[in-house]
Amino acid sequence: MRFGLVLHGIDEEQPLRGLVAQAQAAEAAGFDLIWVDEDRSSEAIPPADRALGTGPPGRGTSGSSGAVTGGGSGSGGTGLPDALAVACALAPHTAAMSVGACCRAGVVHPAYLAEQSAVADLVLGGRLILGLRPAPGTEALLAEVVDLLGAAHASVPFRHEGAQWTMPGALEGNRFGVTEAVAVTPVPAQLELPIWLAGAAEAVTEAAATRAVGLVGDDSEGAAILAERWGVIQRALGPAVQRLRRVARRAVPVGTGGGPDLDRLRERLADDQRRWRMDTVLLDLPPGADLAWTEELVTAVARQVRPRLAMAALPPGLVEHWQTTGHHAAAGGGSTETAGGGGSTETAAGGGSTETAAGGGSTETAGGGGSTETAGGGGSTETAGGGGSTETAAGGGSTDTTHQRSTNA
Amino acid sequence: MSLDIGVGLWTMQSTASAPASMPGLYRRFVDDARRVEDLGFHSMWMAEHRFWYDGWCPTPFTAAAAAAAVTERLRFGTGMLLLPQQDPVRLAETVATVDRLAQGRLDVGVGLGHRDAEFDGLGIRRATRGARMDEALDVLQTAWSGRPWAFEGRHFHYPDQPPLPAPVQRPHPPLWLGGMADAALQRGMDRGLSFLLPQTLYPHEVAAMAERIRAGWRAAGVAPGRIGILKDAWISEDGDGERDWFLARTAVHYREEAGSWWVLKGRATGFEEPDLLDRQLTRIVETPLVGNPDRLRADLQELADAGADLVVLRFNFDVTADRSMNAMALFSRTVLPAFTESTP
Repeated sequence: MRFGLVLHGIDEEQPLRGLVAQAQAAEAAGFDLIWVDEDRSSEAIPPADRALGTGPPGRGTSGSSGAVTGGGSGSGGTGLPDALAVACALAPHTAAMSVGACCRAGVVHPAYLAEQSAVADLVLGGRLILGLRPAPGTEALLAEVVDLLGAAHASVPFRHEGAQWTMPGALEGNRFGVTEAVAVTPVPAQLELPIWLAGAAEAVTEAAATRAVGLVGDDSEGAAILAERWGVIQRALGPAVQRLRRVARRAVPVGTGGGPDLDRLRERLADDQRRWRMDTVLLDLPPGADLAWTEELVTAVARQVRPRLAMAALPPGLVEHWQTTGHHAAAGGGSTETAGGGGSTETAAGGGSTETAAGGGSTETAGGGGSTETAGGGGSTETAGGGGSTETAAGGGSTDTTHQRSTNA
Repeated sequence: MSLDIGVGLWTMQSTASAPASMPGLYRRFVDDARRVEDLGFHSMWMAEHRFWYDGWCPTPFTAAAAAAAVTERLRFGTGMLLLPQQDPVRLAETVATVDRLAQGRLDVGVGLGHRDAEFDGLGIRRATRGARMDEALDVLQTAWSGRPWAFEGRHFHYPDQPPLPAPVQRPHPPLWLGGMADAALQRGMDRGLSFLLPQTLYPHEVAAMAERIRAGWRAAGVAPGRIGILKDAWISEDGDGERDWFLARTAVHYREEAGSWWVLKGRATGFEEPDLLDRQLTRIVETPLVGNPDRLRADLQELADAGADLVVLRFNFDVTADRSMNAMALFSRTVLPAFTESTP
């Protein structure tokens, strides 16, 4: 299983510093990717949580609107509305990990997304994952957005005539140098830029299934729902479904001591892996998690969760051996909070679990987790949220041409 | 004396005459930003074009985020961004994002754009560019307020918008306007915007333009902006030694751009009107600042005396990275100190 970390705003005065610190902590722990949402809320970061390294997790509230930004547990957005620009800023501060930028689709002309994502992928030297989350009410446009991006990134001049957008316009008065087909330039560094769709609507599943692009489940979507969505995709694609990453955001549960509850996290991921073959998880931090908490989390995940999900089964005694190394909390309850809150990525033990709870010594394997209870949302029976809406929340539009935004003024 | 000196233009083009790796150009851009900051320049400037074979960067502020992330003092500007071709809300978001990441180091230069093919590719009628410019400026200034907002125009409709994250610079990053048509001048003077004049003006023209703009700000009763100018530039120790090389290079560069893009006399593009094209290029090879350090100091003083507050020297076009960086380093040692009280 691959591990990703959803970045959030932890330093309002110097947003870059907080984002870079999280990204570097994740990369140092061997995480495969980081994930950035677009945050249009202007009050994404509560002042109480501004300072680095202060404030216990679980306190404070996020001003970020989940309806507008990501589908996570609500640790707050980045406070920044352009995820691709954030991805570019992280490029020189990370070495090799993938960087996912999840953009709102449907309200911005896909030509701009094509240009921005190509430039971001070039800046990143080919490390971009383009996430697309339809703005509320624009779910039905998502397939066309993917089509236009595909045409634009193919590096061959194209014509696109869709329900929403037409390129080029062939409009009256545009004369010189106008051609029948348009070349969007530059193209991404990657030959095949990964596109992952986010959002719970049926139209999102449909777009993933017909366009053969990845799908990111939200935290609120339990294993049963995602198994069903991937069933739809699998039936449409057949064996080709293997080319797609199966991704979900998962909220990190908080233990009684205030630290991450690694057992509950591992059980939920094992369950996802078993029931719908999730292969990539994007970890969402709890509200108020600061840098020290985040560093403790990624290190603990790298030492205690990832190794135990990597194999179908571990040899008897290996987990017990790990527990003797001093880097490893005993299985069972979440690590307890210490005064310093961890903070070092060198010594995970600094974060220090001293608690040995029941369940230590479990050799449970990835496939064998007995728990079907998930940390959050497991019992949800909700269906695709917001699918019925035809209202465009973002609302704006150009009437200059029918090829731009939808207009519902 | 107060004259800010920036350098430009980073456009990330892989041209037929100077092919380059595209990811390499973006990596070099970030490296160059570190060097340009170390050399003590005020700012680093980019520009926007789209749908062109050489990959000209169509979204400069997206790329600028990477360079801003490795610098602390250097400002990043556009000369120009083609505002009527942009989605103003998306642009407002991008600028707010990068201005926050860069802690308030953006200068937003906007121009009309002129290529029919760029407008048509996006599904925009070129004829609407003036009106779109006006409305897009209104949208930007409204959306950057940090408050709930709405805009109702002929081209853009945004009813009942929630507040957007605002840029760090208040009320917004400086807006610089390009273009010298009467309508463009009036637009900028009425709004109290700064101006970034094109590189092909002779010093006496700069002086006349600066005088006109300052009078316009006074007449409009707005707080005055600043006056900047782009200049193609080259410097070498022996002055004339590289002059012929540089001007030939400049002519080749602009002949491609003007021959392909510029519509001359409303009739045809440049290559189809070779005589008119030659006349245009005369100005282009006469107006750069080229010479030894003494000559450039004098040229820049002349621009400062003509009323310029900012000069963006275009050392960086399709010459090799080392060659343009060496010229900038020489300039930094020999000319820049005369115009800055202290270099970092």
